[in-house]
Amino acid sequence: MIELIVTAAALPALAGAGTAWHFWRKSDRAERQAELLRGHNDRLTQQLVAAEQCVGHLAATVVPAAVSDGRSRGGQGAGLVVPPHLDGTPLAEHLRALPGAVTAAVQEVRAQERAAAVRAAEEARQEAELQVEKVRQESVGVARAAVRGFANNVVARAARLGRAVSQGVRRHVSDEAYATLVEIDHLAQQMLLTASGYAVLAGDKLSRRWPATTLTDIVQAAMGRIEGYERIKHPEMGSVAVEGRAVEAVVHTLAVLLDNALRYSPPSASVHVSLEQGHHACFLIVDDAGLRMDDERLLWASDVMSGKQRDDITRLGAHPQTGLRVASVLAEDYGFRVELTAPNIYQGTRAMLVLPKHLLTSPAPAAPAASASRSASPDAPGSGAQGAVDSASQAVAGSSSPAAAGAIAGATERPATAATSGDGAGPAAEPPARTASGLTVRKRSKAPAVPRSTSAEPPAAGPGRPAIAAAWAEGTRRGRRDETSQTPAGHDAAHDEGN
Amino acid sequence: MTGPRRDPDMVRPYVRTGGQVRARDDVRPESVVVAANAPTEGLSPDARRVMRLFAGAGGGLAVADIAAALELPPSTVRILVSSLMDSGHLAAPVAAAGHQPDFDLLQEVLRGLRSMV
Repeated sequence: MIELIVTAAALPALAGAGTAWHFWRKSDRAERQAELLRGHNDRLTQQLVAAEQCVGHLAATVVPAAVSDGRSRGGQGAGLVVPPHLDGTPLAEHLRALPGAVTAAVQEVRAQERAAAVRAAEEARQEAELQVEKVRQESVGVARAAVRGFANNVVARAARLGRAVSQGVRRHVSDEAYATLVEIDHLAQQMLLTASGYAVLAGDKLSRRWPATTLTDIVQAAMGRIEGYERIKHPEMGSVAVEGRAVEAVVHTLAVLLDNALRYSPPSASVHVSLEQGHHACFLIVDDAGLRMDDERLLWASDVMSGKQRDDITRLGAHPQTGLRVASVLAEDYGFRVELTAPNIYQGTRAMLVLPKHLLTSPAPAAPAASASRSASPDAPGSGAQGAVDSASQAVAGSSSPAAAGAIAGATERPATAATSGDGAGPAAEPPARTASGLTVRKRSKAPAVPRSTSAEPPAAGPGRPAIAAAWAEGTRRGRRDETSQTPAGHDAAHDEGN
Repeated sequence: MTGPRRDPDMVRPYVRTGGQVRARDDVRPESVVVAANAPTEGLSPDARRVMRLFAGAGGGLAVADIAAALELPPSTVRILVSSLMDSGHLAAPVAAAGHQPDFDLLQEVLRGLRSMV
């Protein structure tokens, strides 16, 4: 029983002890847990403080540094020193990445800014260029209009002056009048060349029209428009002719080339014009013996000729350069070509005017004048030499057409044949008679009358017209008067008066 | 004289005469000249045209007639003819003065004319 009692008493004690141990264990575990938590807490607190400091440092130093790095586009800066407390935490990684990200962001913003600025500048530049171009176009237009108006006016007046001078030259026979008129004419022609050059540069067409013209006449016409034409040597160039529509352009261009050649060669040297006939084109060649054009100037000239440097009327050089520009414009408009080469055989410069076949015409099959003068000569009708001469004189009086020349040729053929048969007695006596009639007629009927038909048939001999008789009477009367005044008491005069 | 129609004003007179403006005093519009034997090489185109007229004619031509035939101003032709005479291509006809018409013949003509008037 006691045992039972002891057992009964011991059991609770044991249970108590067990419980006490259990609780001790438990409290011990809790304590350790608390200890652990405290440590963790401390660590976290330290980390937090470190993070705060780090972020403070970041905000105060690193980010501005990164920003300035980004601005200056420098490399990655010194970077952020992460406190050892934060090692191994994601925060540390993020913090380390932060300066780089800030730098990158700043750089991107700056790049965008810069791109936008460049774009804006580009737009502004384009806008300005457009404005400049517009203003330039306007100024070119204004200059063009001004030059055109001026040049057209001068061209019209100079052309009229030229026509007036031509009439004057035909009207006045006196030497002094002729010399003066010719000088005026030469100046007017030069003025015309310059003025029509400017008109062409201002975009106008050449205004003067000509019939199809032989190259010989074209060369001579070009010579008439420049100073110093006496130095130009040219052969007769056969019967090749230029189509009417291109004549003025070719004359103008040739005048410019001749002018250049004369300007750039010594005053004593000649300028030679020659003609080469190719299969597809004719080549009018102008050779001077001057200083050969240097390569730079040749290049410039060929640039002008190819049209690269000619369109801007506000950038014209001095007169000779203007001429080449005009030549270039004309060549393009009318379909011929101008080439400059150096040196030529005279160590000077050679200018070549290439006239393609389509600008040329074959000569007229039978020019009336030529056929008339040839066919009429052997057998001129008329009862005698005097009759033939009379008819010829009438032909001259009645018309200034080339057929008249043929008639004269036919009429004057006769005395020559008579001379050969009559042993030299005839021909000397004939000319004075012919002269008297011919001269009087020319003086009395200056104005060309009705044009005669240009047939090869010479006009028939007929009685003298009253005008001729009257002229003759006037002539003899004058002769008598002169004779009277010279020898007032002469026997002949008295005899004449008596009659 | 061959080739297409000419415009006589296209080539200016001073070019035709090679810049000369003076004719010889003895070359008047009424003067008659005859061709002399001289080669025509080297002559200007217009001088050659003048000479071609003589080739067709064979005799003498008055300056005024030449001007009419070539459709040139008489002054220009006077100068052309002067230079051609200077160069020996043309000459004044010789002995023309010794063969003037008889004075009595002229008297007769004058009488006839008076009766016409």
